[in-house]
Amino acid sequence: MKSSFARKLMYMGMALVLFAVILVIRGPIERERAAHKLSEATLGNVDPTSSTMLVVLGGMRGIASNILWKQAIDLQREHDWARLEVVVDSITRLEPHFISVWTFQGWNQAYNVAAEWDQVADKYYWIKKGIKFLQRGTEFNEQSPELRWDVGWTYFHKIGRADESEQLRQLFRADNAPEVDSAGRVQEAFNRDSLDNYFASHDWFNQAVNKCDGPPLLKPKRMGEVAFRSYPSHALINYAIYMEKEGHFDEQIKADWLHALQNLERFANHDYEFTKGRAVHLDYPPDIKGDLYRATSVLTDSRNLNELLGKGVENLTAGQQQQVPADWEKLLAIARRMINDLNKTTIAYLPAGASAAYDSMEATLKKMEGVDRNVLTQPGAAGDAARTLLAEFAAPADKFGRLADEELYWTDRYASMINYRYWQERAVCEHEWDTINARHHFYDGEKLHKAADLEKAEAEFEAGLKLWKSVIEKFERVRDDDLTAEETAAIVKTYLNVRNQLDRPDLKPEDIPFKEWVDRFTPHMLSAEEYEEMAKRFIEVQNQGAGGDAQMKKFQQEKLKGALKDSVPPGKASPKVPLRPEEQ
Amino acid sequence: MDNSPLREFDWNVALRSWGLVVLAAIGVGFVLSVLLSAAARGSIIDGLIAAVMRVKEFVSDVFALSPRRLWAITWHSILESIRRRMLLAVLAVFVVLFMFAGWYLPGRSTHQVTVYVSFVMLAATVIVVVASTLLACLGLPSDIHDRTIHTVVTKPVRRLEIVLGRIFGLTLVATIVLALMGTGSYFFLNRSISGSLDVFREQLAAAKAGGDKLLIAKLQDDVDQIESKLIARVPIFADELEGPEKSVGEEMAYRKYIEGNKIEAAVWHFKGLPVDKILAGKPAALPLEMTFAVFRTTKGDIGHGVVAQITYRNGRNRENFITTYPFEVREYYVNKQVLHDTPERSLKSLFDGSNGDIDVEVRCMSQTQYLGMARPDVYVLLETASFGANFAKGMLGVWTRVVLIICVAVMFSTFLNTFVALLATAAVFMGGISMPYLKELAAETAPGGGPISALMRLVMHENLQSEFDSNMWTKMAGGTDKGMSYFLTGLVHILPDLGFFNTAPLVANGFDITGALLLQTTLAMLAYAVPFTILGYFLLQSREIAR
Repeated sequence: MKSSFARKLMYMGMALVLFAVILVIRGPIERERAAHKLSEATLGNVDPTSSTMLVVLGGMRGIASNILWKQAIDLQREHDWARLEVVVDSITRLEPHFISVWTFQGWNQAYNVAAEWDQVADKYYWIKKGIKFLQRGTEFNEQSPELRWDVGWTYFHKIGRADESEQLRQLFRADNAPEVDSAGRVQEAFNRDSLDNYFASHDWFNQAVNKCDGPPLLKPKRMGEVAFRSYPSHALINYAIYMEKEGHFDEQIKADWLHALQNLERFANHDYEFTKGRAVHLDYPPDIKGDLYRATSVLTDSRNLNELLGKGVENLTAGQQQQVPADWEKLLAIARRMINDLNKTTIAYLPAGASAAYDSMEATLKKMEGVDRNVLTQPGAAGDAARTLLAEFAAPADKFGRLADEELYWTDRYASMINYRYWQERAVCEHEWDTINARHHFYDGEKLHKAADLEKAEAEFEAGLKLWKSVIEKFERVRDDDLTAEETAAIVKTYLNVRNQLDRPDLKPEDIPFKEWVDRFTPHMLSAEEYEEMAKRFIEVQNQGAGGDAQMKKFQQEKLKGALKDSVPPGKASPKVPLRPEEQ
Repeated sequence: MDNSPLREFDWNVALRSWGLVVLAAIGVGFVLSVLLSAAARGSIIDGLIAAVMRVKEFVSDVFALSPRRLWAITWHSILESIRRRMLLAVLAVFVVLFMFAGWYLPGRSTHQVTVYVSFVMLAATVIVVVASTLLACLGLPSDIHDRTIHTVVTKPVRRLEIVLGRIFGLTLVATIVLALMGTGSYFFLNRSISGSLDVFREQLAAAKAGGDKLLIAKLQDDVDQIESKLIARVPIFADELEGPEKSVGEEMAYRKYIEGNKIEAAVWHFKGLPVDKILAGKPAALPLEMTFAVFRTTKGDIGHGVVAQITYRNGRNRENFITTYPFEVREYYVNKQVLHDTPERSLKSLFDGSNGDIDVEVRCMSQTQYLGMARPDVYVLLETASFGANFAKGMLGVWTRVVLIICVAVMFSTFLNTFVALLATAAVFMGGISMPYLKELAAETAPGGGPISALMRLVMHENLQSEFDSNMWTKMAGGTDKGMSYFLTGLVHILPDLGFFNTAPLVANGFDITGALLLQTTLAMLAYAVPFTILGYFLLQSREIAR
């Protein structure tokens, strides 16, 4: 009895001590939780059902989620869509803050389940379900830019780029009536304002980007920042493209392209960090870009000259001795231009140290102006002084030039990641009336062609191609892009088809518009001679000397293993496949 | 497949299998009894005599069953259930579940009835099974522990009456609870679905007034789909399906496919259709309902469905046929077609000399597309039954499961304590629910191999398809799994397949539960319940209680 009582006292004492420990450590844990915004209320909306289930299930929550997830996979396999909906909803109630659940199941419904249904209206239902699912996920996860991006992406890609995009976009735009849920309650319309899907995606991409801009500042986790931030612009660009595909060629489309361009430029002006404390834009105004390029030229010229003279004037060849004064003048000219024309904003883009280097260059350049270029290659005090001055200039020029070069390198690298320069030029190009009118002609031409009004179609294509030629000549990047070539080739082929149907005489090769592109995108059938040549070369390669023996040995070894029961040894012709009775 | 409306059942195979298992169980049980008795008494002869005496005692108990004593034990069980407040707890849980059920309901009208019915029947099964199991496992063990059973057996109440009384008492309680739950949930279901149906109808009227064609089509569809689930179809299935053989690579091989724009067709051979009934309609009509799967190898005509065409052919005179106009198939929906008299041929002449034998040929008309079908996918629908009556029959299916589990729980409670009996009953329940998986394991057809192989794959991060390298450990695992499969083969013959009793999918999908199916489930329940009850009797008899 005594020992039992003592034991109970000991347990009570332990419980009290542990309770005291909890009280002590609770405070710091709460503070950390608040600082990192990890409490339920800061993560997002609180769902009473979800919270109840979390408390009731406790540690079994993960197991329950796994079981439900397995069930969802089985139900999807069995095409039991009714129960799949319910099970997926249940999983999110158990794991409301597990982003991957929302991402995966939203994608699964919008893509995989939608693909299982044949009718477009049914596909649309499941795409909508997937989007709504993701939107609900954003309510529970306020700090997740990724989920917002996923919503935008589903609008952008699944509705906009599917094979059934025409029908899906129509269904989406028409989905502006309030809905009745299964409990008979009237819910808000899915697309109350009858937005285009790309507009809707733009809105969600913007939300994702704004979430990263904080507070707190967040970095996107699933992709690079440049790509992540480019999507709002892409949404607007695609909106404009698809508006034109649907036959809009008015002032509004011009405004749409301008809006896309402005958005693109705003995206380019963001600071993209490439190393701690250093960031670049994707593009700079022409004067600043000029300054940076000039700085790199100064770097190169001064470094080369300094290295050459650093070897010692006695080691210079006669040709080099003659070249040095010219190089000196060239260096002075470009350095002078750089210093005189430099936009002070350029220095603001560059890190600390650039300003000091620039000032040093400016001061040394003034001294260099008074130097006789011919003493550079001469030994003696004057020559030494001149060479020392050059070295004094070269050091800060090197630093300044490298900083400018680094800026240009990362700008170029990031811009190339999303082909920014192309899209920028494309937006400018598409904004012009010539381009809009050319596309208008092509659109009308296609319509008239389908309506079998061939003469008018021919006229439209000819007018369009003429305008298009002038557009392409003005915009180099647009001209050099494969998309443009492919699109143009398709239009020209339709035009040639129309001419063919009108029994027009064949155009001479030099008269075929954009012939090079047409040839590039026309499959080339091999002639009999070309085929024979190719087959001969193939067999030669197979039978080549030592390689052939080694190949034969390897083949025999593998055949022994039974891996290549029915295969043909290298160098031998394929066995003739016997004809089926009906072919004989 | 669980959701198939056609339940195949072979009486001969079932009876033979049951007979073999029962005989084997009797044989094993008798031999064990002899051996155990021999061990206690010291000689095999004495053991054999003791075993035979027990069987004699059982037979005499059967003939000496007193309805009065049986009812006394039954009533005692009912009172005990009430005293333990189990009824209240069960109903309270049920009510709470239904209050929050709305949060889980699906958004789509076509799914409402399916999910509601499945939810209601699942909830009822789980709640009543848990409650009944608890009551059963608490009853006898606590009587034995508290020695109150001594007063009962000295009454004299026979041990068979004790076991049967417990079972009947708990069954009565479960029946009352299920009846209450079923009635309550039916009204809840009706109210909810009628509510949303009314709202849909209002919206449809408003859409018609507004002239929005897309919205009208959508809402009409919603209304039609809900209404099509609130009935109990009495389908007439074909005797045979001939034709579709192609697989499109789906995991579930339930349906086979025919290719579009080819001569191949899927032919359902209907035998002995009630011609008089078909021709008696005003007008005469042959209503057909169909569900097809669609597989596209190309996008085809986007925005339009895959097209099918039906030919109705006299089963005995192939020259006598009617071909109908092609129609677009809606995948996962019930496609309806009613054949009336046509200008070329009347229904009467189609059936002339057929003796009710009709072939329904379906062809896919869309090039590069495939139509998938299984035998139950096409049926003639001449009559529908009441949804309410069908719902009640579905609850009967729940009842059979509950009674079966009660018998198992009472059997375990005769020789195990409360907690262990609970665990054992739970194990039987889980085994019964997982029967398809257990059968896969027993037949060694489960992907990834048996349990030990699966564990190895988890540890080694291998997927289900990769082959193991042949070494001592993998061979040991394979051997253990083989041994387990033998054990599981025996187990799957003993454990009840609780999925067999699950008629909820039929109710959920709007198919009538036939009398034949009810008979099957009831007899199957008895086929398990009676042996378990007898086993419970012998186990109770083997205990030293007031001898």
